[in-house]
Order: sequence, then C-alpha cells, then structure tokens
Amino acid sequence: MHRIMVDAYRCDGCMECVAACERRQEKPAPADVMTGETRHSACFVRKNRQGQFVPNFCRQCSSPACLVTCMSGAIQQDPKTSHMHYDKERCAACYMCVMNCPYGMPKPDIITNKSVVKCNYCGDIEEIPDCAAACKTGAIYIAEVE
Amino acid sequence: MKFMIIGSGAAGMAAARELRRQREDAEICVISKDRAPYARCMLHKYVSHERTIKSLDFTEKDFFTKYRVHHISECPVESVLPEEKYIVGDGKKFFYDKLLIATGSVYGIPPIPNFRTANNVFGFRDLKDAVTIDEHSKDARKAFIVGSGLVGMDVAYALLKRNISVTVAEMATRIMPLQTDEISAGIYQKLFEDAGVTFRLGIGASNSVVNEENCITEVILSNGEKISCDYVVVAAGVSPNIAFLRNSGLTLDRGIVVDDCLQTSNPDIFAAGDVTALSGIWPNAVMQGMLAARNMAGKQELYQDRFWIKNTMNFFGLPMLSVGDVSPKGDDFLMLADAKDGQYKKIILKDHRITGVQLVGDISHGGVWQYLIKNQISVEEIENNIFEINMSDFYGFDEDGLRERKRIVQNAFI
Repeated sequence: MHRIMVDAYRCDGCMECVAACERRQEKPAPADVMTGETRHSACFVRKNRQGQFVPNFCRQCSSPACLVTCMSGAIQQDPKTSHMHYDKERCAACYMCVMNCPYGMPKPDIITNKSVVKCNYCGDIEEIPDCAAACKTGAIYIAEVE
Repeated sequence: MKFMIIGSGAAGMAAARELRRQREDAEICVISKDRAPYARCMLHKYVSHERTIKSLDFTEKDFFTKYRVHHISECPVESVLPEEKYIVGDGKKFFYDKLLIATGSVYGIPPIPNFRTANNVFGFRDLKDAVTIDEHSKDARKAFIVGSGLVGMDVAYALLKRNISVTVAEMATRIMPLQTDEISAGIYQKLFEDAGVTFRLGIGASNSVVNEENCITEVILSNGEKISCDYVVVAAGVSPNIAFLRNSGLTLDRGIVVDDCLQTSNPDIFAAGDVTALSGIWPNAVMQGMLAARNMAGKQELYQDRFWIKNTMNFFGLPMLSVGDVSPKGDDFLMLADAKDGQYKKIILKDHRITGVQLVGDISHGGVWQYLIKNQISVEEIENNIFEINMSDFYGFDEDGLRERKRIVQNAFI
C-alpha cells in the first residue's frame, strides 16, 4: 500500500502541508501557523523536545486503532488501497477514535463537535495526496510499503 | 470447516469478517437473537429520534453477502453442547467445527420492591429496550433513571430531546463516577441540570408505588423523598451473558473463562467481547473478536492489548476524554490540573509515568495520552511541558519512548 512518510529532519516548519490539507474544504478556515494546524487539517506540525519541527501525519496503519474503535461504521478500510476512509454522515461523534489512536491523529471538529477530522488519503483520488504534493523540502513523501 | 459465531455485536461481526479473510472456503455462520447488527453505543440516538434502526447498523454495506456469511437471525441460542459439537437455538440443532461465543452482557435489575415485576421498568441494552422506551415516551412526561454511568446519561440526554423531564439517582456522590473527578462531574452535572435534568446523588431508590396496571408511579428514595414518574430506566451495570451456558460444562467465572488465546476450557470453543469479562468497551471487543477468529483458523496469537479503562463522551457539544484512574485514592500521586477558557485538563503521575488523564473541552490529539498510560512510558524528560505533550515529542524514539533512533523515518513510537 501507499503510505505518507515523514522525514522530520527536512522539515522547516513552512506549514504548506497543513494549508494544503485545509484547502480541500469547500470553505477553508484560515491557516494558523502559530498552533501548527487548522480546523480541518488532518495533519499538524509541532516542535519536539529538541525544538525540531515535526510533521505529524496519519500513518494509515496496518492494524488501525481508529478502525477497530469506530462503532458507527464511519471509518472503513478501502479494500483496494487499504487506506482508511471516513464518512461524516455515518459518524456518531463519540470520539473514541480520537482517544484510541496511539499517534493522536483524529481530532474533533471543534466548532460543531459533530464529526472528526481524519485523514482519508485525499479520498484515494489522486496518486499523491495534497500534503505531500505541497511539501517542497522532501519532509513528506509517499512510499510503497507492505 | 464450519465456523459458528453466536452474537452479531462488535466482537461477533469482527470475528466473521476476520474468519473470511483467514479462510476463503470455510462455511461461516452468525447466529443471533437480533434481526440485524446494530451498535449498542448508538441506541440512545434511536430514542432521541436522531437515528433510525437502519442507521444504527455499523457494518459495511451488504456485509453478509460480501463476506459470504450465513446469518441466522432472531434465533436466541438456548444451549451449547461441547461434546456433541452443536448448539440449540429456537429448538433447532446447529452443528459446528469451531464455535465463537460473543453474546455480550445483560443488565441486572436491582432488588427494589416492584422493580423486577412492574410493567414499566426497562433496562437499556438491546434494540428492543430502545424501541420499548421510545414507545413509552410518546405520552410520557416524567422518567426516573437509576444510575448515572455513561448509559444512564445517554438515556437522560435522549429523553431531554423528547421533552421528558428526567430524574437521575446515583449511589456515588458524583455523576459518571468511573470517568470523572469532582470538577469534571460538576461541569457535566451543570450542563444536564441547565437542560432540565434533576439529580439525586449519594442516594438510592429503596421502594416504589405501583398502580392497578402494575406500573410504577412513584419511586421512593432512601431518604424518604418520593419522585413520581411514568416509567423507570435501570442503568446500574451489566454482567456477562452466560446464563445459557450453565449446563454446558464450560468453565465459567464472572464470564466465560478463556486463556490468552481466548480459547475456553473446550479447545473448539472460543469467546470474545463482554462475555469474557475481560473488558467492556467497543474497541477491545472488536480486537478480541479478530484475535479469536485468527486462533480459530489455526493461529496462536495472544491477547495482549488488554487496557480498557478509557472512554470518551460528547454531551452538549462538550467532549471529554478520560483514561486510566482519574480520581485515585492515596497521596503518592502527582496531580497537575489546568483550567482556562472553559477547558479542563488533569494529569496524574506516579514515578514519572502517567496513570490517568482527563481532558474536558479540547481533546484533540488526546490519543497520545492513552498510548503513554497503557504502555507506562516515562515522561521524565518532558515533564516540564507536560500539558503540551504530543506525538512530536516521540518522533524518532522507540516504542518505550526512551532510546532515540538514528535518523529514523516515520514509524517511530510504535
């Protein structure tokens, strides 16, 4: 399967990945570089304990904790690509996926609190998701993994 | 090979899917008392009229056809005969080669006078309970709920949407006592009270009055107070659904006793989900169902991810995340709390390891806390900024969060 990979040592904190993720919305929220994420961005960039920028991305895990915890059926695994897809209409906003992801990637939509923000690999429409396409430094790229 | 699964809940359905992945040509059969699968965690949304029965279904579209699983619905299983390798449902015999028991749990009704015999005392576990409460809510004005756990509060929330005035009695001194501390309980208590719920805390029901139709019209509390109601909902805990196994010869304790492979005392019978008494939350039931399925198909995997003192809730658009013991007894804990802008965060530490976390308001990226608690990761080096901990702090570190790997790409931290 294709997976988004991160090489944090190449990240200069430009937030283009976050902005690209937000732009997928019909009505994008303003990018807030200070917090390293936006309302609808499924990724975020924060500094780590050494002060290094780290892009944080959904790994589209092989045994996804979000998938097993989803009691509404909103999160489903695409049989072809193995990527997790999220259906806002089915979501019950119980937020168990927010709690159960070891990487802390899904987050509530903090304005409505009626859905989560969750990476769906840009719906598997394009070969390269928008975040990786927007990265100029090579910190975010796509690789084929088992 | 014929695989039989009793129960179409979280564990049973996960097992059916996984069995098909493991064995392309096996016969797989799910037998259940329900007509179709549904998520119990959403039943209150049926009562509140936010969802229909169809939208309670958590499975993929055309699940049974897609995975070629035979579904024997509305067929409660009455007994299991391990020696003869068949089960009895609705008077009929069903033979199996490997059996999974995933029958969940059942609620109990406390021994309060009339509660077990009256016509208007309901539990809240199955779809039929939700349907019954929905029907009784058409003309009702007042409901009495026993228990303020997550189930009790879900029901209270749903009944508010139906304009029914609700009184909740809780034996503990705060609401949702397993998930809250005094502060977070107070926040949610106020939200519920502002919406019209009345609480009686640290108090239980001790008696009741029935009318000529054998319906409870008044509940009498242990302090003598009388509360009138049109019906009673009991949400005072559940226990594993094992009554039908009493004569099976399988080793039973509080639940079905299983080993680390989720195998019961009979090598051809496995169990998963609430019925094992190993856990009581959705993700663990699913993981157990998948693991039991792989072992039924001949693998030897161990159930290791056992942590389940974790929950989230989302009432009135205010989310809460609660992991570990958030209200520990004793004084050898370090408690750090932060409250501002309507948010509340509390972190409990012992020997530089986090033992409990509570987030009210912004719970974004809270999954990291769950991982740190579950795996007892030391946070000694990042304790100064503890409220800001996120996945970045563990980039390039191994699973224990200790040793830094050399220039690692992605998959750090697990």
